[in-house]
Amino acid sequence: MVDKKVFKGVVKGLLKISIIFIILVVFILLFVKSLPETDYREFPLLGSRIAIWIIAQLHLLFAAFVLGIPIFAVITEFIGMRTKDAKYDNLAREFTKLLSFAFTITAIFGAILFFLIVLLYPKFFDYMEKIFSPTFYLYCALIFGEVVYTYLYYYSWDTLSQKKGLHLVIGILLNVFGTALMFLANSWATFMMSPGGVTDKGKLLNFWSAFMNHTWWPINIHRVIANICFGGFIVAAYAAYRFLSAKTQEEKAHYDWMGYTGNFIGVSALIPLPFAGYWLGREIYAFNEQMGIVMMGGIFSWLFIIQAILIAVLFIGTNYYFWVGMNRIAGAKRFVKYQLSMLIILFVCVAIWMTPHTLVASLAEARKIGAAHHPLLGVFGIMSAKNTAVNIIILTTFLSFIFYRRANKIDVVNWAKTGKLIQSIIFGLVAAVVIFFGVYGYFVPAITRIGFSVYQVLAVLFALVSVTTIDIFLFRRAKKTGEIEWGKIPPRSQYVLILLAVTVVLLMGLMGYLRSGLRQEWHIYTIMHDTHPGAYTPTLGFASQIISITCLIFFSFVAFIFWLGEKSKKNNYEK
Amino acid sequence: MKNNAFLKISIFIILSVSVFTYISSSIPQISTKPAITIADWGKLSQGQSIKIGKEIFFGKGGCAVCHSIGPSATARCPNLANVGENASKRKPGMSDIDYFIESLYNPKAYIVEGYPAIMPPVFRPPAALNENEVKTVIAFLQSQGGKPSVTPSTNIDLSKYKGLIAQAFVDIKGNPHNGQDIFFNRMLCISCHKINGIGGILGPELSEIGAINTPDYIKESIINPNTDIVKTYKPDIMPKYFKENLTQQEIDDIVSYLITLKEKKKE
Repeated sequence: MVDKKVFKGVVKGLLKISIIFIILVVFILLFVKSLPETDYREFPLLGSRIAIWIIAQLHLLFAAFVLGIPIFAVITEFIGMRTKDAKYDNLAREFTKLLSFAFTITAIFGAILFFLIVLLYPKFFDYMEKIFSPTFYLYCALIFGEVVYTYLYYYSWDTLSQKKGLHLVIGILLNVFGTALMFLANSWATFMMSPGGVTDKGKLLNFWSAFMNHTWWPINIHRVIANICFGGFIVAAYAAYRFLSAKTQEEKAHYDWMGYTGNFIGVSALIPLPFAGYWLGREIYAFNEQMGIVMMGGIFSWLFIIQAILIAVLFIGTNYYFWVGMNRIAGAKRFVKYQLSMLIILFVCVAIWMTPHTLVASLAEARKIGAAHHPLLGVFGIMSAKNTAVNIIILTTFLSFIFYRRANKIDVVNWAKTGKLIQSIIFGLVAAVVIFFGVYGYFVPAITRIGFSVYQVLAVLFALVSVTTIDIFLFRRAKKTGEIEWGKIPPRSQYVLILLAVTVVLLMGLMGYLRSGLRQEWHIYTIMHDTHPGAYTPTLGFASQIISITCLIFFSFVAFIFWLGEKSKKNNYEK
Repeated sequence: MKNNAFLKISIFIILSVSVFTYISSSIPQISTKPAITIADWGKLSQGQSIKIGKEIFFGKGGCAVCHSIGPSATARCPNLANVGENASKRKPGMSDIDYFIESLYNPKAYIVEGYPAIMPPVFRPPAALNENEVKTVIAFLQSQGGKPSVTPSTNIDLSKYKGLIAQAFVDIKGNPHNGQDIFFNRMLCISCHKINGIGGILGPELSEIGAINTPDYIKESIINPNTDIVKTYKPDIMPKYFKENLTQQEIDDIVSYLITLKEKKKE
């Protein structure tokens, strides 16, 4: 027998999404179909491009929210189940509650986006419909599936409190539906960027080649990881707001802990992101050399400097948060002496990474470093130094985490000295391997050098896994020098958490501009020209204004969702 | 306190976002525009042709991504400051116009020593320049130290570059060895088409197909066999399932093989 509350909740969700669908269809049938046929229509005042840009970006940010939060919720619920700590379960539930509001906003922006594309770019939409129409129907079906599981997941929290395994399965299914939705939409976006399965004139030859086009998998993987990262940092920002506005020490302690947990999940996902991004970059090059050159050495090369600044903010901010957080842990003082050296390492690496330079080598450099052996990969290989810097930044951040982890612990195992020595040797060796390949990269042909980044990544991953494993055993049953005094973290640390969330949103906007801008004057690269009179690739300055406005609108909506969540929580208490 | 925190956070977010906008607006600002639409190309004067060619060079054509006009520390392809003067001296017996046409349609035909062969033919995407646009680019290039003479109304017989276009297609798209394998072994096209004395007679002989037809025509014939039926042959003989059974790359491979067939070998 299905619980009445659960049933009502799911029906409520289905009703909401059905109403949005009906309004969308009515608008298209009544409005768009009655207009005369044309290739383009104009959006008043803003223009079509900016209107689509802002709405698409908002839709994507909320989509990341409704995809990232369930991943976060399932992870924390699982931790709660394993540790039997109710805090984690409550945290997962608190955020799942926000999903219903967020889902409605995502759907509304999605419907507006769809309507605007049909209205403003009918020729483009007609073509996409010819290629992808089966996926449109599947997309609708998956949306309903996701709604069912979202509401089922939330409303069955009490009912299935004794059957946590089953509840987690529902959460996982919610994520499966969400991820499938994203993969479908990714096929449309990536087809525009790297079309496959069609002739030069756009005739469809093979649907699956169009669907699983060249950049589909790299984008899928990149977005899954990025969504986890985004979800974690948004949770941390919410916690920071609640911490700063908390009235009692108890509240402060709770939200301090929540901020730490959100940040931890965000950082864990942030670490593999540069690797996923690098893979995507390589695939873009492999798909079309010209697109790669435009990206890394053409009009977008400066964008990567801004990207480096934003990522630097993420890593330095995260390290700073760990360091400040150690002040509230008794016994952590012994690690403070390392912070200055780590800060210097971080700044040097960031400086290398954001050194203004067209990332595709100049001719003189290309000759020096042997690009003549392989012109395609050779020009990409100039990233030797930058890859090295990123890997060292990741290692340093990991070291900060290790210090934070053992801040209030004193080892008691009899092999502690040997264990720590092995950890130090691993750190030292891996850092040496990363630097060695970075330097050696300048003395070998490009075709050899490009493979070095794989060794660097593998070495860093080895360090992350092996050092963590040793650390877990090393500090088992460790003597505690004191408890973490949750709530006693200085307020400035909370602003760091907010800055991290803002930076992630800006980064998403920036990379969205890059991905779309790379097509330049093509709706579908090399297949369908953008013949609209206003078709152009805007400057980074202009793009940053649009991204900033979108970011502010997004945070306004997020504040509204949090406010609604808080209000309904109060109502529940009153009831 | 709560509202105070909200206000402080809002100001902090606005400040953070403003810093991002400020930095992004402080670095070099580059934008690109597609070439302007010309109602009547034939009426363009020499000066107008150079102006349009310059716009294409720095815009739609994407030439300036790699080439510079004047010395540049970051250019990956030759400096074109005096190309108008040098073009007629590059290859003996070749006029500047012929040299430009060859360099634009088949850039790999002649690589200036010390430079990588990375330029794609301009008639193919992403540049996808049409004949008139190519002529204005030539006018612009001629104006770099030479005597401009080309406008869109200049009669240039491009038919003699058909082979170049086909050759460029091979360079970009397909693997002729794989195409040959598919043609002979996998799809058994040879059972109906004859090549140099081998094969069937249900379809047209293809021994010289590379010399008499374009890659696009061959590709279209594979995808939609009835589009253009050669005289004396019947429609609906050739199967239409190739587009379902072959990937786009495999079709390109076949095309790249077929366009290498330029001359009938003596049987």
